[in-house]
Amino acid sequence: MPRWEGRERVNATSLRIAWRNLWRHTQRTVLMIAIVAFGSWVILVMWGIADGMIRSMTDTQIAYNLGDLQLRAVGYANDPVPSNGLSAKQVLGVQKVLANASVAASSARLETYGMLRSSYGSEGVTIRGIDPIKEQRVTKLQETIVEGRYITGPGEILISAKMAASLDIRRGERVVLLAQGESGTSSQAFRAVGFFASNLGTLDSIAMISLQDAHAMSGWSGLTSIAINLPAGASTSRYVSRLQKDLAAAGIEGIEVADYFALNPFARIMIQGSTIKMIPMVIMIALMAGFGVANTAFYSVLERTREFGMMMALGMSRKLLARVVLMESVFVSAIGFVVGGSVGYGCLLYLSRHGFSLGGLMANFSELGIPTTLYASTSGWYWVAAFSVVVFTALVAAWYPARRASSLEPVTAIREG
Amino acid sequence: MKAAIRHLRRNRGRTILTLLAVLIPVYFLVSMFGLTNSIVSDMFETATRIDTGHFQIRHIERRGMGAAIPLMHDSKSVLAALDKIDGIEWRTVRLDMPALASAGDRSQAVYVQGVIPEEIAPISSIRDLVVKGTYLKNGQNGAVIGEELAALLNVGVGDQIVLLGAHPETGLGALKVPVVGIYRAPISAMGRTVIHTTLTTARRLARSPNAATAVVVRVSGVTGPWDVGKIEAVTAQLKGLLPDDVEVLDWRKLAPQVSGYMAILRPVMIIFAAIFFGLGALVVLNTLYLSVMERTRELGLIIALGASRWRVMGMILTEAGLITVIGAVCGALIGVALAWIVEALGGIPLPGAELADYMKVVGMKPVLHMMISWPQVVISAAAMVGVAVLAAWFPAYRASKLEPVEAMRYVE
Repeated sequence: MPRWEGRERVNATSLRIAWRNLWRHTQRTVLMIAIVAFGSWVILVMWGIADGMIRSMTDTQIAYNLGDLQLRAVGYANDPVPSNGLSAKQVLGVQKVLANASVAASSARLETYGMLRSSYGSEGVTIRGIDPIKEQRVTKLQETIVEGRYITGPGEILISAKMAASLDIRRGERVVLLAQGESGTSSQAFRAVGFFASNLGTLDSIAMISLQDAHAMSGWSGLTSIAINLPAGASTSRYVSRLQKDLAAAGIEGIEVADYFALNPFARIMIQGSTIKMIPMVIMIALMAGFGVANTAFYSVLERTREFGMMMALGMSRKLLARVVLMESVFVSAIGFVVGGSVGYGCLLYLSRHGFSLGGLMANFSELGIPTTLYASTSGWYWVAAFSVVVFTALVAAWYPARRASSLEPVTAIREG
Repeated sequence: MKAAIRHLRRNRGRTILTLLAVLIPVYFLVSMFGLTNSIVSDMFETATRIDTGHFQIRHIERRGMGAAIPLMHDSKSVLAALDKIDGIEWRTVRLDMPALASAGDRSQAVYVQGVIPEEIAPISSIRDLVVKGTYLKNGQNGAVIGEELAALLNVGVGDQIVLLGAHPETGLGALKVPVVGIYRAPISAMGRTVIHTTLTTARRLARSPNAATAVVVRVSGVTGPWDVGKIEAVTAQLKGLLPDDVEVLDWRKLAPQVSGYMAILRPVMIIFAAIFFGLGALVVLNTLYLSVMERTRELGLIIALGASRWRVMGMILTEAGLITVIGAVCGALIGVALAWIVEALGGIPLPGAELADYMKVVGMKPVLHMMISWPQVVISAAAMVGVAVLAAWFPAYRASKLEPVEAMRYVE
């Protein structure tokens, strides 16, 4: 027996004893590790998938539909009709501000609601008038074209492949858009030049036409929004406040700089919702893992009553004994955590590359802007989350057995064990 | 059996722990089932009562018509066929068609549903949803629109809206109708797009005096999507009675959002169950394993005294079975009791107007209810017992494999 003295020495010794104790009962230790590993695996994967869903949603929406930021007229969001949009005069001023604001790209949009008619059917659409060249610098919808091409000018229309199938529209065919303008219902014929198939249900009911055509149909000479792309890696909130300042300095009023959360009001509540749903799961897993570890640790202490009594009789301090028992749990949790964590990250990495399809379900929720294929996320924070849960439960769980071990009376312990 | 009980009582702490490891997963599952049942049932009721019915009979669609549904000019023979069969609670004729609704410089693509007001009254709750003005009366020329659409078009009760009927089979037909009522829709998409008019008005919009698009049918005794069998039994009777050019579409096709939601619920519940059961099983395995190790000497003695290995295994498994059955039953009962309490209190209201908007988009009510289905409770409990006993097999096997002499010599 070594002599128990000196802090450093004591720590190293307790580690060594704890480690050796663990591997005296391989099966039991493996079981404990399995419980902890399973718990951390579940927490990691769940977290990664929930967070990945939010991220996929945000990224897809920004890249294919919304752009990083949008400038809109105040009040347009509550009553989205062109006449509540940006007036031609406001647009001129805004464009001057944007020219000096070092944004990556900006695209003028004019949106209105209408109806798309083919020879065989009709369906409601959101009509989005855009500048074909500038819009392609802000969103990547052109990358999802499955047939034909992007629009290049007036008289052409780009719709989703889904809409095309539903209305039996072939490439090159003529379709009619109906919309209400300032002077009554206007109808205009377009040639379908291309079909896209994006990951977003929201976009399936969008018809892209040129800005000139949209001006003519809606009778509104202004815009409904200007979508903006920021330079890679730029802070959105910094740009929001900067643009607000620039607009104020140029004396332009009544314009709102809308970031993703303003453009997609349900995003915030979905994020909150998914966090709230995680809590009972995490508690439950922590409880079960805690049970498993505490239970095993407790019985391993009971079992070694005689052994511990002997060690104390030989001069081992209560503190050291408690630490040995504690260290056993810590070792088990650490190994379990590393195993569960690595497997968990492996799963997440796979899901973040390959994604998983939600199929038809999310068509229903397209209004919420959830893409139909989601990718898991692999942020480093899940380590921290899973780690704190696991370590916390392990320590709490080991506390009672450790205390029990340290409160043994050597003589009684040796006699009873 | 006796030995098993005695041993369980000897180690109270451990028994309670194992009990909890079984009880908690079962309780969680029962509660989750309760919540999801109620959500599914709500969605189903909303969709089938207000819109789709349990099934519809429509003219066969031969090519993509977008939101339009082919016109059916002979709904009388369909009604006659329905009169010949049993199990039908209610049916009505409807004419649905896409149209552009506009007022001033605003427009929105909508679905006009031409209904027979007195027929839909007993089933559809839309009459009770009217918050301004009144619902349609027979023969009245007017439209009942959703709050969302009223805001979009900036109109109120008494204002005129222009409907531009766009049925592909009949060409454009325009009609000016007054808004007689505004309803509060359970789903925002519905409030934005669904307009009710009388069948006569819709027929004028379609420029066809006897057109209809569907006969909407409800089957008696159907309370939720789990009663699919009853609906199928009724539609099966229709075979051969209907004209050749019509087809039967059930709610799964007509309300894909509900069946889609249910389709995703099943795998989600299975994953949750697997996680819960997995953890529960690991804890049971762990506890029993420890208790076997602890009793190595005792078990060795029992074997030495002549107990067969099967007997020893049986003893351990009985012990596990006993404890998991008690745990599972308790968990199920707590889950059921909680659901009863929640229902007695009238559900859990969710806080916040923002959340209510969100729930409306996905078609859920902002109050959580719990609906217990006994088969699910029994299956959850039984599955947990099964998994736990399976987990107990390993320690039991180890116990049975003990060598008596060595086991008795075993020092803890």
